[in-house]
Amino acid sequence: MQARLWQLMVVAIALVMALPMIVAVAALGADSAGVWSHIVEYVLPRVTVNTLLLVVGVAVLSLLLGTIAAWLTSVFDFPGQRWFAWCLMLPLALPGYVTAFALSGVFEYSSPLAGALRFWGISLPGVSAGLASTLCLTLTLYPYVFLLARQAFLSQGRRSLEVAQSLGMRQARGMWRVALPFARPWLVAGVSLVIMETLADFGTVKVFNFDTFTTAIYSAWFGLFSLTAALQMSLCLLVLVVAALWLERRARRLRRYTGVGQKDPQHRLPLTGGRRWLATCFCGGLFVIAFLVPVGQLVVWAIDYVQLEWSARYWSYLRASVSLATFAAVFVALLSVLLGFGRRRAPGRTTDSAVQVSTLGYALPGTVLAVGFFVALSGVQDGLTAIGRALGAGDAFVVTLTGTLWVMLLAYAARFLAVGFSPVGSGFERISPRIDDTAEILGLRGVKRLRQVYLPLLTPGIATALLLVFVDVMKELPITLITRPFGWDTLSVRIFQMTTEGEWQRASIPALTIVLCGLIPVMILQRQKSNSRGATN
Amino acid sequence: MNNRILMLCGVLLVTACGGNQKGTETAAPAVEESAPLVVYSSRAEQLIAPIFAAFTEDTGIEVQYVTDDPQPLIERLKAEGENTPASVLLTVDAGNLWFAADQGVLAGLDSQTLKAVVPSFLRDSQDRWFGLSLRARTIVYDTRVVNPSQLSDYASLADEQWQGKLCLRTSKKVYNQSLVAMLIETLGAAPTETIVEGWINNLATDVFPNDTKLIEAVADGRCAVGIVNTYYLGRLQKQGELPVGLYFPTEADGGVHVNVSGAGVVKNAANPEAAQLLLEWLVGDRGQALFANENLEFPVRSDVTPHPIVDAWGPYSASTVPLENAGIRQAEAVKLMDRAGYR
Amino acid sequence: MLIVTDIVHSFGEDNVLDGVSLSLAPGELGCLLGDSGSGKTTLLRCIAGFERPLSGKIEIDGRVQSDAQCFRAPEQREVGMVFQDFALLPNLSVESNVRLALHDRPADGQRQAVNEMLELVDLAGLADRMPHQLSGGQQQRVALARALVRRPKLLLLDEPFSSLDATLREKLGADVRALLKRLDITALFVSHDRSEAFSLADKIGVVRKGQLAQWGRSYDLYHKPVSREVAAFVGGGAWLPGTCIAIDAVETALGVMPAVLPPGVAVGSSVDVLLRPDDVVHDDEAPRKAEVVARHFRGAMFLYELRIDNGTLVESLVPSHHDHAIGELIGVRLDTQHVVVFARD
Repeated sequence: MQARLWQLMVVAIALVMALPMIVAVAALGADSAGVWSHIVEYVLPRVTVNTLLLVVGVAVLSLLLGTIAAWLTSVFDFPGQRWFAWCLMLPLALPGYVTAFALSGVFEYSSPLAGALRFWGISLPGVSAGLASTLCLTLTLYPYVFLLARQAFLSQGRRSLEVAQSLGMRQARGMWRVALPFARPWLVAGVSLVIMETLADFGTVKVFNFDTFTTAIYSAWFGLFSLTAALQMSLCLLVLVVAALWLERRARRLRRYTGVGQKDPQHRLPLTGGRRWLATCFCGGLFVIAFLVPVGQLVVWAIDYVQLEWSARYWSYLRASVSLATFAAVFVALLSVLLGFGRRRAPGRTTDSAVQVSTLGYALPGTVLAVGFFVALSGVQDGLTAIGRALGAGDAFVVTLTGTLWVMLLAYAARFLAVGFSPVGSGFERISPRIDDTAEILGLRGVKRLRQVYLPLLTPGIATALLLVFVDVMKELPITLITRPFGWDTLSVRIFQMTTEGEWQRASIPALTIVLCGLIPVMILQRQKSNSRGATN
Repeated sequence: MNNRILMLCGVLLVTACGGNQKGTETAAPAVEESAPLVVYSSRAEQLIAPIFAAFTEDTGIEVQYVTDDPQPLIERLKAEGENTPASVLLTVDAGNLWFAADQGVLAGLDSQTLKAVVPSFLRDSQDRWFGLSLRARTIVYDTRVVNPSQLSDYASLADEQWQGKLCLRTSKKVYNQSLVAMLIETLGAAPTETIVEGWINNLATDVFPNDTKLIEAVADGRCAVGIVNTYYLGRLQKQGELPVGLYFPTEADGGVHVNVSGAGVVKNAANPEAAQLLLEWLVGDRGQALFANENLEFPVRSDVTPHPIVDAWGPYSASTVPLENAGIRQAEAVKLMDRAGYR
Repeated sequence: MLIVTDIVHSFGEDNVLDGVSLSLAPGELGCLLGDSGSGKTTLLRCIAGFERPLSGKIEIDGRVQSDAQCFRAPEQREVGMVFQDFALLPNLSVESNVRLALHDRPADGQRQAVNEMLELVDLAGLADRMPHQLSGGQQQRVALARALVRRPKLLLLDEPFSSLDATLREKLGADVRALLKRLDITALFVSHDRSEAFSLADKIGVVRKGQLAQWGRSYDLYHKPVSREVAAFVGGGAWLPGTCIAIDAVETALGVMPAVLPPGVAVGSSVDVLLRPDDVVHDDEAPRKAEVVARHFRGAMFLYELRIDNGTLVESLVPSHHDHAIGELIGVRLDTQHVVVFARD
């Protein structure tokens, strides 16, 4: 009976999170006045190829960069190793579109750098829009792979290398044949996050004018005036997402069987000779191009514009950004715990698929998601108000949902539940069923068990969820734009105001503020990681 | 047991609402005696804030605004229906204004002031929206390599002489969609498609994500000619001289394609009187000077002096084809550009 | 086959290994027995090449693997290793896991070598299974097959049975020993379980605080321990005070017993005598009676703790059909070939 209730709750959460998708499915039946057939003929073929190329490119490059950096910093000792271990996560604090406009400010034809190089007779190679988008997205998304791969390598990297060596393999081959297969579930989980972020990205590809599924969704809506067609395309996108999620799920299932009974040796292997400097150069180069250069460009612009742009209003932007990010992080963490607990109390296909559905929104473009919510909740609001009137409450009973923080929080939750649920869900998976049995014997049930037994064990997972969602919401733009109530202008909204008018340089100031705010949680995350590692050793 | 779960849910609701109510209270003070006028605007905040401040100063009416892209704002208006807090929709581009009117979120406004000042081709045929400032989308050229006498109208940019010399912004920007829509309106679909194909054929480089980068490319000598909104050049000229000239197609060639920044009163406006007052104020002397000059646009009233930089570009004659056609034909234009391979 | 000379190794301040030497003859099975933290695993890792000792020399099959001048990488040492958690690749089938070890061997013949090896470890029918479909014992045999298929000169096993349950452990231990003997493999394994060590190994080393307290045959360790610690570690028993009355005898409260006096102990000095449980035999006919203080059922045997009339506590192993209650008086006699004696401090 109790299990049934939990199941009901999980399904209810899934239903709410799926509201935008329900709106989209409802749009399937609607007629888009020939727009759809135009899209299928002239737009879809190109954007599908572009999107696939982009996703494959970003996924492969992120995997490569993230894995190599994680491998080097977790298994070996070389100059700067400790430092790189945390600072290679910093690009996480940079929104993709910010990296994009900062890097293009540095390298594009009319930049001072390119001009100076031309003066010396060197011309920077022209980079196509697709390649530029791929590189920029990789530079902002590889930390997901880095983060998860490090988790794997720190716990079992050296040991898997020893396994390989005991089988007569050299280090390089050992990494390839043994360490990577051991880490595969973590790598796949990281890459699937990267893939979903890439599918949902609009800001970065817009900076370079690279046509993908998301840009096509927007041009169907903004250009062809057909929200219906836009929603229909979003559903196509969902198919890709479901595929990515399926991969992730398979990977997680494998992760359960890769228990490592033995702790890793604590000290790292020293690298010798040229290889140590090669490692330093690789990590250093990655850090410079993914973080220092874009941030440096922002700083240079900010110095020029700080007088024009900075004002006391920044404190209110900052307050709005931080409070929204905090509310959303807490809300998402809460939902994640409820979903995880529900799945544990009422295991089965229904609960499993409900949990899956709740996390689908991660790969939908934010605006589509937000409008979906808006449309759905307006319907609910009108319905409730009508019921109120019918019951004779008259105009006194007017339900207001839209334009409140509720819609914002729900839309944020739908978008970022995947990010928050990932660490919390795997935290639940690590709690042994024996603990349930013990709790049962002790008579701890329901909420009491959740509070007294699970929560203490879930703390690291919840902390990770809180921090990741916090950083993501700080960077988030489209949902914030459409759902914010009056007076809730955030830093990312400020960036939007500047960039719609093409004032990239002026946008550097809110962008830098976002980066600075984002750095704090990233640092806490790192500290927590190293602490928990210290504790388990 | 069930009660505990209910209690938990209750606690969640209360905690979530707690933060929430606090937020809404501070954000939207109770709508009482002097209800503020709510504007949904797709013009960026830095462009409208000083204008509304001046309006409040003149009239005592407080203005609140939400900024976003036009389509989400229109969807929001549609979804909010009768409950909308908004009274005015302010947006750039006639296409967006036409779409808002078409979706039924704007109300007709019978204002003699507006009708007297705004020429009929710059407003809705049913007076649901009015252009407030003009944005001319015209030809820029590299003064070092191009003689203005080589230039005539937009169609001529498809000529062979510009092979490998033309620069365009992405077709996803509504300004280009309106331009092509107006070409379809005046020249017909088939000739327009030929023209667009000719443009694509002449491209010097990939299409640009924005007008500023396009003008920079002309200044760098990467392109000889391009099509931009004039105020982008104005902004760059504020920072220093550029070897970039402006060319306005003459009346004989069909005139310059203009678009508007405009506004309309929302159908279920909470405060229609104040909304009308705002629109009329915006075509007044102070409003016009601020609205147009803040962004280096052309005032809709010919008797208001534009910003000195804008003034220096000299007079031009605008195409007088009714602007609502930009909206009516926008979808057609987008499809045409897709077919022609204009990204 | 394996000669380890004077190995010293440390992590930071404390020496983890402090001058350890041992050797194994070809075909011998050695065991490093010690508590956790004693340094036994570090010694194994030094031999495998995962750690480079600060000083000392390691030779395998007549070839120096590690000394002050040279250090050969683990993959060059021709040493096989079975890890505590088996470390099977979860994404590969049993056959592929074993075949992974043949990555540098010619492709033809691989299949046959793998099949032969699986046959040997009795897994022939499970070649296509995935690791998670196997029981713990089966996984262990896959790990063994993977290590052996390269025909290593020396096989190292790190706590090979610790993750298996007790009944399985005994059976597998015997199987593994039989297999290694049959293949004539020299092997060294690490354990903290003395019964495991006794049943598997030809030679046992007791590792304590980074030092090899004793290295020798199992029998010697049990019956001729070099120190009280080793004696206590390899088996239980009771300590009795006694006096040396001759060069081969001690007198205790239970009478005179034959003994091997350690060097430096003179006739007449006070000593401690270790009486193993198997030295005290239950015999209903015996005149000496002892009171049962506690009893531990061990299946075939009872381990009784007994108080002899004069108050001395001893232990005795008795076939389990002799079922006596606590408090009962039973007859005992001593059956001592020679007892272990240490000088009293």
